[in-house]
Amino acid sequence: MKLELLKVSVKGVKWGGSTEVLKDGTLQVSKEDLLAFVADDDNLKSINADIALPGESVRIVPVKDVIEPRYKVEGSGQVFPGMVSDVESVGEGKTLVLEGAAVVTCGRIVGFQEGIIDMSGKGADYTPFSKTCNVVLVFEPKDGLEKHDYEKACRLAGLKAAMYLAKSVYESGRGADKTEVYEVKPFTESMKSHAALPKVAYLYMLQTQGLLHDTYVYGIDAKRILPTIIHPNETMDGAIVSGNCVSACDKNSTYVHLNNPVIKSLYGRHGKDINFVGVIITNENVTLADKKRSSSFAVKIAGMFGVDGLVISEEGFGNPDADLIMNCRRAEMAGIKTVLITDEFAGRDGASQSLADAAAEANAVVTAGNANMIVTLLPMQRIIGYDEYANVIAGGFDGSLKPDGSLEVELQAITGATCELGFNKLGAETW
Amino acid sequence: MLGGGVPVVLFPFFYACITNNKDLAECVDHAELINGPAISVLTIARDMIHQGWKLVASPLYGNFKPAQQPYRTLILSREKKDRHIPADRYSLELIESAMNIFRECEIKRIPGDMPDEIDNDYKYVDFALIEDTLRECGILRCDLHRYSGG
Repeated sequence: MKLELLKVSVKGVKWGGSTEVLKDGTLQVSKEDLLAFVADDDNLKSINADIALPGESVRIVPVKDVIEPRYKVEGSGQVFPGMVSDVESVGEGKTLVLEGAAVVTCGRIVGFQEGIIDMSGKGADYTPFSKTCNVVLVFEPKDGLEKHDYEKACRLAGLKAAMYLAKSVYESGRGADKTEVYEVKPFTESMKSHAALPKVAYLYMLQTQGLLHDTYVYGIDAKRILPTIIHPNETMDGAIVSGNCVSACDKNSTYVHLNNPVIKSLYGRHGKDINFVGVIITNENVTLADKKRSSSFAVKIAGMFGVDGLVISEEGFGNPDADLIMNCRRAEMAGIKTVLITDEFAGRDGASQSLADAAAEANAVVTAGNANMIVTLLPMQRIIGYDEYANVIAGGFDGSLKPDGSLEVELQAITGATCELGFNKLGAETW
Repeated sequence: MLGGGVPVVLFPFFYACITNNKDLAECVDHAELINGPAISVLTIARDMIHQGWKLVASPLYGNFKPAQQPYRTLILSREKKDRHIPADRYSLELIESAMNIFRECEIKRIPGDMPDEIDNDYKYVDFALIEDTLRECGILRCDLHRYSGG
């Protein structure tokens, strides 16, 4: 299966009469057309659109999701299948990507569970989305709308907006600035190729703890799946979509699922020092029976691949730590070496136990940073969204919002700060 | 302490629900409503595990630190046997680990200590996260949306 990502480089965003990427790399957006495309009169009272650019004195809060604009121009299916497109399988053909642009969705679904993006200052250093040119959508629900229906309306509108931007640019005739090609051969070939190299698969854990804590695969709530295999290219076409309102620092936004650094890295090393044979997706349910079932099933699939090694990434903390450790132990006991990717909640001084669970077998662990670290975010000239949630947002606390508009928060409050797929700059080394 | 779990005809188990979430307790058959912080819920569940009950779901469900979420709901099961049942080791590991995390937290949250709008969100999310498990155990009497208040 081969996928070409046709990347258009976006260097700015502005409102204008039509939606296209101008010669200087500015994404010009027709606000009127965008709002018409994403309108949801049944559920949303209003949708406001705004722009936030790198270096501006802007704070976006509370952030729900971030999505990279993409649109399939060749091959079966369409981006975000089962969500805003048909359920046909994706991952092959050609997909246009507006690299450097992002759609940021903002709403107060469960106020304390959303995140902060600062476009400048210290906070900007901790979120990858201070470097993207952002089209921000702020959603007001209709009176009486259920929270999970509000979440769904925001999720679908954000995905539609991302599709609209890339689709419009494609239809304006804009060609790609560069092309990236991703290809994994069919199993019969890949298993025989690079015979001398260790076979490695990726166990991709998805947040699925319950309502408002869900991730969707081809539109299916991943809580309901048995672990299964997915082609790495499918993730690049939006087969996996974030639908959760969990802690901002380590939830995998849809943008991160589209640009999973673990998958990119495994692709990069394929044929050099490893034989990357595939991706297994699994869930992080709350019941212990589900945990055992999924862990047992996922490791069984890895065993059927005959892999030597498994890279395992987690999403979230607390309950998912138990799944992470269970997956690790089962794999190691089956003779499969593991490397875990997680973040830490080690207290403000970093001295407390980092994870809620541990095992001797977990002896190769990559950390994405300590989410309890305190950071002070200076006041911004402009707020997009609602900053009254700063005192109660996860990672914030009573008194977080200072009279001068500055914020004292834990990294937990910053969108993507300790991303457990490594889509951030924090880390630690032991030597 | 517990007047008895809920016998479920199809399965040879009793189920019990220990919670400090009033909204949830009103929707669950024979829930034990605890008037106190989350650590009290965990402590009662820990004692029950020593008496042969097993955890059905993780005590650390949801992505919350103890400093954030005042509500906690635990579901336990017990085989329908009269004889002594030894404590389930995995359940004990999970509950002791969770209790340590709550004990180490300097900020102690108690139900109702935040503005109503936020407090309601916390109750709602607590219910949302455990709703499917309650349904699977056959002890959920009414769905979450009836209590969300929009």
